[in-house]
Amino acid sequence: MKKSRKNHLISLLNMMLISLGLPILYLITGIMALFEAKRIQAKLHVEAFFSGPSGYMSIVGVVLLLLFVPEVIEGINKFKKNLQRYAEEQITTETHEESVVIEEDRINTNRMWVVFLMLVGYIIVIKRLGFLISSCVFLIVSMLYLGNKWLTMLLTVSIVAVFLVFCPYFGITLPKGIFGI
Amino acid sequence: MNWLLEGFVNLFNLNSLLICFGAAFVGTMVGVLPGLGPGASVALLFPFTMFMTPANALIAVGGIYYGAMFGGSITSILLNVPGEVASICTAIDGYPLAVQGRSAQAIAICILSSFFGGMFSLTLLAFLGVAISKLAFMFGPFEYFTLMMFSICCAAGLGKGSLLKGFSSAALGMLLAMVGVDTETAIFRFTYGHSALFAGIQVIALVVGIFGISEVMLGIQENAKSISSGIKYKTKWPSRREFQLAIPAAIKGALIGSFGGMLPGITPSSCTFLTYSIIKRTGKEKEKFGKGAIEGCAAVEAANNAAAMSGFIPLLTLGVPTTSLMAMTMSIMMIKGVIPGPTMFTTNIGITGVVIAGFALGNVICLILNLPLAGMWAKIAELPYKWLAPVILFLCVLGTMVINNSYIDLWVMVVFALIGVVAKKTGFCTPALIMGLILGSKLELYFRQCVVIGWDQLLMKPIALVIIGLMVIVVIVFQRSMKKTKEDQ
Repeated sequence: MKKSRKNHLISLLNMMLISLGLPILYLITGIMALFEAKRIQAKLHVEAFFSGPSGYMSIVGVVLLLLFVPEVIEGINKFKKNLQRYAEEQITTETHEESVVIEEDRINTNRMWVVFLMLVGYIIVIKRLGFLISSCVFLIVSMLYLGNKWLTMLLTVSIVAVFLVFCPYFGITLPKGIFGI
Repeated sequence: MNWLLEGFVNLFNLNSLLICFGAAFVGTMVGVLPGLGPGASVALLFPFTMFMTPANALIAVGGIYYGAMFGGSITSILLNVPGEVASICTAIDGYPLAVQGRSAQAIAICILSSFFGGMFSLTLLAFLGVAISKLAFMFGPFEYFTLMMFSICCAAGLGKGSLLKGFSSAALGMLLAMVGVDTETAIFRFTYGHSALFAGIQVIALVVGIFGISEVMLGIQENAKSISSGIKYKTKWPSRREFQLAIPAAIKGALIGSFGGMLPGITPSSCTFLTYSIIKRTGKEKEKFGKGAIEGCAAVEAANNAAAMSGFIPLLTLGVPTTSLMAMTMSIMMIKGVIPGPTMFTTNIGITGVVIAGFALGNVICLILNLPLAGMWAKIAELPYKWLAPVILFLCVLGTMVINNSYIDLWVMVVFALIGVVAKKTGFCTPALIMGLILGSKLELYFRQCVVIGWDQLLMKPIALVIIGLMVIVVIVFQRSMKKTKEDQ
């Protein structure tokens, strides 16, 4: 099975994220904590450091930076190992069953990300269309995408819509959109 | 014991009873459905507890927790699909029993021992609670600081990766807890001038994202399929012989579960594994284990429900959560203005009484719901995930929106859902993050108090020194076991 250059790049990025994403997060937050502590200390003009608002923060920041070192070493080792395995996988030809499993796995992962993007879209749309309409649209789209029957979808959406319409009467306020609902 | 009776009296109003029933029902459903754990569902429930009284909120959380422990056994026996991590061990012995056509007896034994485990632990909570909370009055900043650190160390050991990963996740959580205004000096920290961050990061949004949404996403990725059973179910009472085997096993399980569940970092699921390994060695019919031993089912089910209940003991008496779910419960209590800690058994004893009464009633309701209706629950397990996933996502968004109508909360939820998804692959320890986040502000407070008193005073505090000793032991033990699992791989 041959892969295009784009697919190679995606798998490479994926490996990098999995093995080195966290250590980098620690590095960034640790440095952020130290800078924030310094800024606060400059603002306070008091001697007390550890009993102030920045002492504990800088300790946690230093701990994060200390933990960054073993994490990054482990991450690089993991990355190398994964890279090697990936290269080996490219040479050896897969059996038919294996490739089916891998293909299925890829489809499921893609499905997860599509649903995630739908969720993000839903949240963006809430501000414009209001909660009722955007919820119904999200439910319709995602349920049909995941392969539900039309009837189940319609039933669920109508129950949700009725629930949301009566929400204000229970003291739950939800954002309204441009249509006023 | 006056307060306990008063609790039962105060429980009997329509609101509390409905919540009690609803929580037990939802909890059993959560336990039955694979791909939806108690953590995710408590996160989902979190926003809706805003509209309840403190006692009712606690009853609802507890109901979901033990309901899941009850329900998990049904699917593991009938379908060989544990709806919960805590009932994996039930499936080892329960499914072979079902194949032999003794599913009804197995379920009856499981539910009865689950009920026994829960009630045992609850009695312990009621009686030990008063004693432990008296001890807690001797606790000062040093003791609390070390105890909370101990709790975080144990949570760090829950991760799949190394212990260091757990510590760094906890540290990240502590930094997240600092976002917003510092209550002592009124200085803004990590806000960078954004007014949306002044009040800090909304714990609910984070929890819904990291437990609720990411779990659904991973469920979609695993393509959780609906299962259907060919096994017919009819309620049938176990024989006397089976009772004779099950009763001592259930007592053992309840003991291990209720005392294990009090220790930080011991979840009900790890308790069940421990119980199963012990009962396998000490059981009467050793040759039957793995092929359908009624003892195995009884002990494991008693242990997981007992552990779920006894997790409330350290939370209510000392104010220290032992697992991430208990940490969520703690933040629910704090939002409600009830400080978990020794005051739960002095000034707030009214609430504790209602909560304990509610738990007891909830256990009874679970017993009634599960025993005759096991067949119905097995049907519910067939609900397709493709239908559940969108509905749960919608409920997550609705729940987060309801808290204070803020879009920022929704974005926090999405960001942490992403972190939750990636975390599964990188060995990031989400329980430690939640612990760090929820205990963060208190830890900082006690740390500062300790600094003001002077750290040299620590040498004069025997309780704190003992806790530090325990902490060192736990860290060494975790380190060794993690190295071992790594070498095994």
